[in-house]
Amino acid sequence: MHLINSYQTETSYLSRCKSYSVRVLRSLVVIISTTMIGVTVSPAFAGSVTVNSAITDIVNDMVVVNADLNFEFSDDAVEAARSGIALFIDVDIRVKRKRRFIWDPRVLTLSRRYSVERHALTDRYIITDLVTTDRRIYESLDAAVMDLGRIREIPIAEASSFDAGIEYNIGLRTRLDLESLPAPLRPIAYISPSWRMSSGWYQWTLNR
Amino acid sequence: MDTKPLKRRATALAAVSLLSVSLLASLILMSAAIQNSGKFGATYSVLLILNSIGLLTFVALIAINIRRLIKQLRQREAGARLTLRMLVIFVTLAIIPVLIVYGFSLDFLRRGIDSWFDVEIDSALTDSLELSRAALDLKMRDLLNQTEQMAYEVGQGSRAPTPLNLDILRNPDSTIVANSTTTPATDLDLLRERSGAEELSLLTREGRVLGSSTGATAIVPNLPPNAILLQLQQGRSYIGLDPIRDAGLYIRVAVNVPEVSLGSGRKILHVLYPVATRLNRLADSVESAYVEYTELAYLRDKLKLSFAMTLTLVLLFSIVTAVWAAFYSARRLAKPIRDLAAGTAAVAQGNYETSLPVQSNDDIGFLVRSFNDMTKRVALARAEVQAQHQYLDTVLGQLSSGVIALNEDSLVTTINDSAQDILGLGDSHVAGLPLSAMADEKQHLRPFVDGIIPLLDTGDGRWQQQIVIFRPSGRRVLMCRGTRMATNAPNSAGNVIVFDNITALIEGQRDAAWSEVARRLAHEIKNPLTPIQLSADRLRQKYLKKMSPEDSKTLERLTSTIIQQVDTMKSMVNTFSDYARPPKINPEATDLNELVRGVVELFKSAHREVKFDLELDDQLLPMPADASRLRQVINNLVKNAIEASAQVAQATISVRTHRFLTDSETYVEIEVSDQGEGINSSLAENIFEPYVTNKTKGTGLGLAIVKKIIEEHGGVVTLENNIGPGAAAIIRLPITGVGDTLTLQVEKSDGKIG
Repeated sequence: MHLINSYQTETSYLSRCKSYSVRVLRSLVVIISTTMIGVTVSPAFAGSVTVNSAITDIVNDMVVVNADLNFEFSDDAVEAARSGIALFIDVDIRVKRKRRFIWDPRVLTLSRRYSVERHALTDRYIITDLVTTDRRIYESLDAAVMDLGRIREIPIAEASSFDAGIEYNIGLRTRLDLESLPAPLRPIAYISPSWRMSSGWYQWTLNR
Repeated sequence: MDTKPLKRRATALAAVSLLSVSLLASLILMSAAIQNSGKFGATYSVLLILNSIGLLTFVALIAINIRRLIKQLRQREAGARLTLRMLVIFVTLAIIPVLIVYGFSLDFLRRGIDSWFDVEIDSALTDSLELSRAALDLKMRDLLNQTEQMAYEVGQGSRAPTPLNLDILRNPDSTIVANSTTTPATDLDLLRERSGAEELSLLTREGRVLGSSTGATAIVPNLPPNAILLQLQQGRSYIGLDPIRDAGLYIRVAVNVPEVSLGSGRKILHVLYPVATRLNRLADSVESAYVEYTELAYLRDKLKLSFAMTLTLVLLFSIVTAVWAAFYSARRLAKPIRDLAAGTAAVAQGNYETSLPVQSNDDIGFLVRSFNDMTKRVALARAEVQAQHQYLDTVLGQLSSGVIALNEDSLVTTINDSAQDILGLGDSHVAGLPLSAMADEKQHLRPFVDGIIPLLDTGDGRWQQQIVIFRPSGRRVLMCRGTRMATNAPNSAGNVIVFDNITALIEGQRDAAWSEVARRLAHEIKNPLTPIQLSADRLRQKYLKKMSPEDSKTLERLTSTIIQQVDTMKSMVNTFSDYARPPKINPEATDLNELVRGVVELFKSAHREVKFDLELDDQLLPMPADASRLRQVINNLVKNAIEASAQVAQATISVRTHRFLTDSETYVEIEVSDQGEGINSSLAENIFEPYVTNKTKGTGLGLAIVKKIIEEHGGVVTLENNIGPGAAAIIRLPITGVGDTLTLQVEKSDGKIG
């Protein structure tokens, strides 16, 4: 399908590699850390992220995704953000062609990346869309996180790119990118549940 | 020498060295990544994985080595214990200093990281941030007043404004022009320029742009967020410091424009003031320093943990490489010793060809060389011993005496062929068995074993004993001599028994003695006989006529008796003389069948009551023999057979000749068999000796003469009972070289007797 351009394929390949390496790393770190260091994970509030709803719409002949996500940052994540550590949130979208009996081929994947960070001088929180470099400033972290959940009009492809006779399955997930955390924080983030924030795939069918 | 293991070892060493270097480089990179240098930050996870995999590889290598060592220890392989001991020493020597350094490093690390954080620095940074805020606050308050003043001015001058078309705003090519009759764009521009603002917009309370004026940097006005609009709707002015895009800090002021008349609608004046470049730079510097510090403060424990983890990985790396190196070194050091031990074991098992490779010129190399020399010498010595053994075997094999060697447990260690032959052991293997096993094997050896065993441990170990055994083929007289073997060990002396079959010697001596007796008898008795006979004859002739008929009858009878008895005595003495005379064999081509037939024909006519059964071998060719002597033999035997069969009605005497061909020789067998009473077992042993007979008549020399003649022909004669009634005399005469044998025997006899 002509929708798959080189950038998107690369993104999907990288994201797959990354997820695989994360899995391997996680298991290794668990083994090493528990045996050598014996890190005690504090029983603080564990964060979560869920996709409340997600739909597709057509705006100016573009298929766009609107989604409402619910971020609940863990105490550790909140503390890190307040300490000035930038948190990176990935919103991954994939489009699969539905087929009977055999697996659905993936025709498109794309990713939006947001960063949440504190501006110490003004004591504000800034959300930056790293794709559009759009910045939004918030008085509090809660306001920022709440607004982060409102995903509006992410364009995925032109409406004409989707064949009329074919059913498409669209999936969306969001997660906290642990690889973007400062290196010293990463080993703990891999093994601590309070940093494990991933919504899993939320799927729906493309309606036109 | 096989170079494959060497190559493999070199490859393994190179691989492990490469792994170690890679792991070390990876650890250095990881350490750099921890310090958040940005360059390696992204590779941190990969490095962590790589290091973990590298470490696990090492651990696996060590596990394999440990397993191998345990297996070797269990199997008690040579050098395994030495390897273990060296391993323990190496590992201890390597790990203890590393652990000490690790402990101190960890402590220093904690202290080092803790020293980064200080209450004073903390408060200084917070204070400078506050100072920056205060400095900006002052400026902001001025700007608020200024903006409120501007709002008032705008309020005063506004008259029924028309809302701005937002579509124009979206189009970047269009210029925004204040569409107002009462507040021309130029007013806003003037206001902006006068106030030094970057951007100035007039908005409705809902946020629609009524008019705006922007500086060179931005064309689209930066609109206030909804939260600010909400605050303004509540009648409160907004002033805030906003970091806008990458342009640095801006002071955002939004105030309500005072209403001058009803229906004019509420408006908002929204102004963005730039912060002075220097102030901006300073504030940015303070901010980034503060953020960096708070970030570090937050990461303090994590940083410690990460450094500790890196340090631990370094420690583990050091330990595993040290342990592996210890394994490698221990095995390399122990290898020559292991080889030596294996070599020694091989030598102990009798493999004297073992030669070890000399791999070094050090002490162990010297040891290996000495070992190789030793095995060479031992092999040489063993070859000599084997040669001696072989020599001894050959000598023993050639001995006509039987030799039996016994060890200290009276087990037979050596027995030569002659011993086997003399004792009639045949192919029985008695080597390694106790002496008594011989008696179990062959019952006839019981007297031999029973006679020897009590002598073995007596006195000084030297003894001599004549023992008689009864083999199925006849009686054997053995002259046994024993002596204790001299060995270095006092209580482990064995014995050597040497014995000879002296049966033939004894018989020879006996025969010679009888011959001497016969010769003397003949000589001493024969001389007075003729005068006695002549005297008796003269006595008869002289006085017979002169006597009365009655006396003359008596004289006649007495002198006849004397003459007759003297004749008998003469005949007896002649027989003795025959027996005793030296053999004079005249070999000539003799047809044995013809000879036998002739003798039997003579007896047939004299003894018609006896049936003669002849069974003569047609293949028997004339052979060299003394016909007259052999005729005497056949004559004696047939005569004996007829006499033995005297009591038997319709007796049958069978005479048989047969030519035998064995591997080594050809001989003729003559068998004369009767159906008489057979031989008395008490006489069986000495039946061929003179005066041994079960007959009432005769000289008792018949069989002795037979034996003598047959032996002169190089043959043997045996007399044995038949399975049925009667006995059989069996003569065996060699055919090949008979003439030579005879000549030889004649010469010997001549020498002996003459």
